[in-house]
Amino acid sequence: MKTKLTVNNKPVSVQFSPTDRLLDVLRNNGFSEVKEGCRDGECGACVVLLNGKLVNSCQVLAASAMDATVTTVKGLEKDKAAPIQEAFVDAGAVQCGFCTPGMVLATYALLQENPAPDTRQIQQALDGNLCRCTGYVKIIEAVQLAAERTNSHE
Amino acid sequence: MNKKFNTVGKSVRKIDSLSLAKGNALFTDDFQLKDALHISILYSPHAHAEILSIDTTDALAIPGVIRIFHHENVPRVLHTTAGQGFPEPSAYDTAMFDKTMRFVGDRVAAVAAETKEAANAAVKAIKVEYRELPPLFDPETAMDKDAPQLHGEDAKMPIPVKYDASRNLAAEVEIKFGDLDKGFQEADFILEDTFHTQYAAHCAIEPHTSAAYLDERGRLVIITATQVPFHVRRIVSRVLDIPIRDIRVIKPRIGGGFGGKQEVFLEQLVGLSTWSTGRPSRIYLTRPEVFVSSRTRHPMRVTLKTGVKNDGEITALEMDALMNNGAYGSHALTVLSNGGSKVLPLFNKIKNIRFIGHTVYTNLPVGGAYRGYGASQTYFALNQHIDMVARKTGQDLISFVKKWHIKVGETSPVFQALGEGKEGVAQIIKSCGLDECLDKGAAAIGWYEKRGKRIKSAPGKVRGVGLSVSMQGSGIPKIDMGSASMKMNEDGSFNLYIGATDLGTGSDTILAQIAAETLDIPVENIIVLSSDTDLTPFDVGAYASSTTYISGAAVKKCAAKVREQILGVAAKMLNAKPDELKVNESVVTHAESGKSLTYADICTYAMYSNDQFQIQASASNIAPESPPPFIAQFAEVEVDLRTGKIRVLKFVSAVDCGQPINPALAEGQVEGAVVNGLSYALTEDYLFDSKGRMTNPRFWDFKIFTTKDLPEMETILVNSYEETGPYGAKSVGEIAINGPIPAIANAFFDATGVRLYETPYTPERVWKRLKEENRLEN
Amino acid sequence: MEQLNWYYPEDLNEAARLVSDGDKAPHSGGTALIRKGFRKIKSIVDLSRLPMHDIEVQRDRIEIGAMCSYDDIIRAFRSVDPGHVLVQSLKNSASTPLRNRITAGGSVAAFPAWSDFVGPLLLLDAKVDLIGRETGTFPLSNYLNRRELRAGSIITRILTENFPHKGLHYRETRTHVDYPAFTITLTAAPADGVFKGLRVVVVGNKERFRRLTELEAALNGKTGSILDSLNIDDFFPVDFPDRKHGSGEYLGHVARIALMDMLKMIAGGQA
Repeated sequence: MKTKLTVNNKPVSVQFSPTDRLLDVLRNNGFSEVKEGCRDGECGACVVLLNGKLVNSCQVLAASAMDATVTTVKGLEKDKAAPIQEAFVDAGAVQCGFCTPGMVLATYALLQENPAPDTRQIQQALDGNLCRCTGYVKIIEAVQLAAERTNSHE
Repeated sequence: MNKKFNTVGKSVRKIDSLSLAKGNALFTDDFQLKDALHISILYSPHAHAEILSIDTTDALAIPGVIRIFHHENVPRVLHTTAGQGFPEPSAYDTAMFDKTMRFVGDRVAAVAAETKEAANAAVKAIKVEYRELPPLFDPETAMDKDAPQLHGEDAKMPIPVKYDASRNLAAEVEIKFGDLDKGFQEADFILEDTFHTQYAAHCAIEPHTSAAYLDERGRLVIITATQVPFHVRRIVSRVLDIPIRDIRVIKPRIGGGFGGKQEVFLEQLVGLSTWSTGRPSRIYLTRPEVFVSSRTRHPMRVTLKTGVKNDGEITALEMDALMNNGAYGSHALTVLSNGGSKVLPLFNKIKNIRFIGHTVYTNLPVGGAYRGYGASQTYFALNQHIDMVARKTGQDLISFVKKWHIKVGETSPVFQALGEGKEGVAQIIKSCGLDECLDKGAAAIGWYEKRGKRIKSAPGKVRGVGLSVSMQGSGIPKIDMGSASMKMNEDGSFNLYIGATDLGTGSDTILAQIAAETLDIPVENIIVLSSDTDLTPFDVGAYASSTTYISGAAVKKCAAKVREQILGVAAKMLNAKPDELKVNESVVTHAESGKSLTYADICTYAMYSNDQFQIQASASNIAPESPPPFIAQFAEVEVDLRTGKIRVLKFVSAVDCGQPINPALAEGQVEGAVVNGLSYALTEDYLFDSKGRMTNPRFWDFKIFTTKDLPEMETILVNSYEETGPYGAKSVGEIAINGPIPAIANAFFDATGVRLYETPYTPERVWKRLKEENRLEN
Repeated sequence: MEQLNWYYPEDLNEAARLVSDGDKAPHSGGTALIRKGFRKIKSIVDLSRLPMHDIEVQRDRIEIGAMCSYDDIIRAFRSVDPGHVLVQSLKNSASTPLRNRITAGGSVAAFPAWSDFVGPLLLLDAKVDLIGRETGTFPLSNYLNRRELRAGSIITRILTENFPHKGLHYRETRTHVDYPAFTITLTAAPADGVFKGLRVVVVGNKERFRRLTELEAALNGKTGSILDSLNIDDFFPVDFPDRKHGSGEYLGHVARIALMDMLKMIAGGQA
């Protein structure tokens, strides 16, 4: 099968088999920032924005994403993503960094909706992203920091 | 203790973190290898069986299938996958492919094919005839006469220690001091209890993965998610009979390790595929494969007998540990030893001690290195007995620990008696901030307000607080070696080459900070290249909490040599003596003449002007000792007396890791280890069916914590300044995982008066304990 | 494997025709399909282009298009009734990225034992609109019990009652992000310490789900103090299978405690 996706604002023609998952299609086409951690919809390393919604790309059949718009961590709007990425760095929230693209995407999706989340809301928004290195403490701090910085700039 | 530093002690940005956050950094599977073969593995469906025949005809007929490897066509080279120094203290009992299958998940064959789909289809098409053998699942019966034997006589320990495959004995350790019988006779009362810990998985979010290709000269290049690139090179060389000179191992960014990626079990497979076909090859394990076929935390049974006088003096202590290593003997001896050596010295005033341990084979998944490394298992027992002793003798636990724990200037005979595969190394404690950890942690948790109060927070719910104390080590003394080399560039920057392996911990940053401190420059001026066996000097790798202390000292030595050369050139340029010069932020000043030079000036001069040479140096380091970090960890729990559910409300860790080189990264190590430890205590477990098959090999059923499961967390760094460490540093990577299991058990007792002897504390298990002790409420 | 065909019907008639053979697997979000695997599947009918994305929350009824995601449902209630029992159940179900993907129709059609969705729907006397081999509106409980209603038909819409009742949803999990071993959902009208309009349903028991009508009958019209003398066992004819969360015996024990806690909250006006 084939379709034309818009990935990170650029058209990408992709070929795939009927049971391929979006995760594989993205990785096979060079979007290596989308990570595979479990293929089971629990770890969140593979999340992308699919038509603007945060989804596990391992739980999306490529054939169901015909003509879709996909955004990986590299395709986020720079002025909104950069403060999040910088906050993750400054808060010490990046250890191995394998979960980080997913965490940044989940944070981005959260802050789009809720620019000033409280701790519980952050925990809820990041509930689909596993991290084994940090114990999440500094990740939650990073989200708070990103929100503060973004809000103080606006 | 308040030394003045420029870069050390500051939470500088982790040097690779922005590229990781942007998704630019490359992990093993992110490297594009043109036309790479995909490898898939066929696993044994039986816990114990002999392969009678393998028929690959149909599988080879599948389009795209290039090669199928199995015991009939791959030489049987017994080795250990443990990824340790040489000779390894683990048995050579593993072949890449064997005729005997020893657990469900053992390797039958591997297919190399053009696509993952073809490889997977071929795996299904391989026909194997097995003869099932009686399986051995219970470690307690493993050494019985009539127990099934897992390994043949060719399985051997490469070092002279006790090992007996005929009894399924993978390792045995015994140490004794004083007179145990006399000690127990002197006691007013004796505690004796048995504790069990479970199988657990590392759950690095990046699965195990390796890739290989031949470079333009035909050398084998392996890119791999490993903690031990140099051990990988050595082991692959031996197993595949390829000279070391023809192998290059590169560790890119790796997605967490925790000990799991110390194990060398995929590299020889991609190496074999590439070496024999000439094609690039890659393997990427699925999550169920990671759970079943990689390595686990060894389950342990610990029986602890403690003789106590009424005033609380422990007159005798006997610890008997039985460790289940599963099908192969990875880390069998050393994890067991560590269960004694990192634990028993903590209460060093006990005169009569015996530690006896056995590690046995069973037809279950294989144990391996895992953060905590045996100490986490035995601290469960020790910390509950310490809690019992304090309670039974009417003392506050904190005062009790303060009185009896090891202190500066003191030693323990255990240090010398118990090492890693040989005797250990005697050492005197030079730094210990445990008392301060206890005080600060107690204040943070509200110890004196909450202890023993059994506060009823809701109908059926009661609260309690508990403490766990522990120590670990900082590398393996006289065994672990790290090295570094540096060269200077004419803009005043430096390349730092280290064999040390950053598995996500931030060790590249820590080592850069140490170099920057020594050279008095900002950390940005250090360009780190690590873990490439062609380009960087040797390092044992990331394990045993060694990198900061051992590799860090190598970096410090190396940078000091570079600094000396810089001052030598500057002295020549300024017509001064090196000891008249002062360095401040990349500027060398001669006070007398008032002249100064930048590092850039000096390097440019050295390269281009006169008696030209490259300012560069290298240094190696081994440590004569292994100073322990110390930690006090406090849990506040709420127990539902109707259901057995335990909720951890707050968890405080106060750790003495010497001078933290980078406080944020040190805290991150503690926080990560604690949360890992919390789910190890409460939810993580391997469930097996009656055939020895793991029934929950996925994150949906092997429950690790998410953001929503966090208790209130507090981490306190206590700086004790270890004089033997680089800028006062000790280790911090492993220690914090020791606390959750015992601290929660002790808090549970504080709340309920009931002891927990078995992990994980799942609601049903706890409910049964409460029922046994008549503490259930309706 | 490569032979598998995808169909993308754009109107309901076409979709009905395609699925009515019964040999094509409907695809809405895909999460259930991926879990089940493709071994026996020859073709897939993607439902995403069908006009079933709307959701309407009225005072007395709710209409949920089958393609609405859990997140769409939560959003629809955000300004109307953020404490609604459906929101309570769905906001803790699965995880954020999965809630964006799991659909109402797919979730009901797959009805995993751990569904968080079916409990509240049963309480609200949900009905499903089907097209395909069966066409029409069917009570949800019939749909779940009768295999012949499911094969060859797809859900286009879920219709429920709505009322301003208080609701509670309990999910038995090991960590917060987990599929539940069972759920208990209840709703009741607020009425000064008297049980009124109480409905209780358990999902995940041996018979998959059960409305506790005996308990409802025993409590409705009574004051909260009846709970002090209530022997819950008499009104809880529910057995649980052994699960990874715990044995059936233990789950039954916990379910009784959870249910009593929920009833006390309702009686105490804390819900």
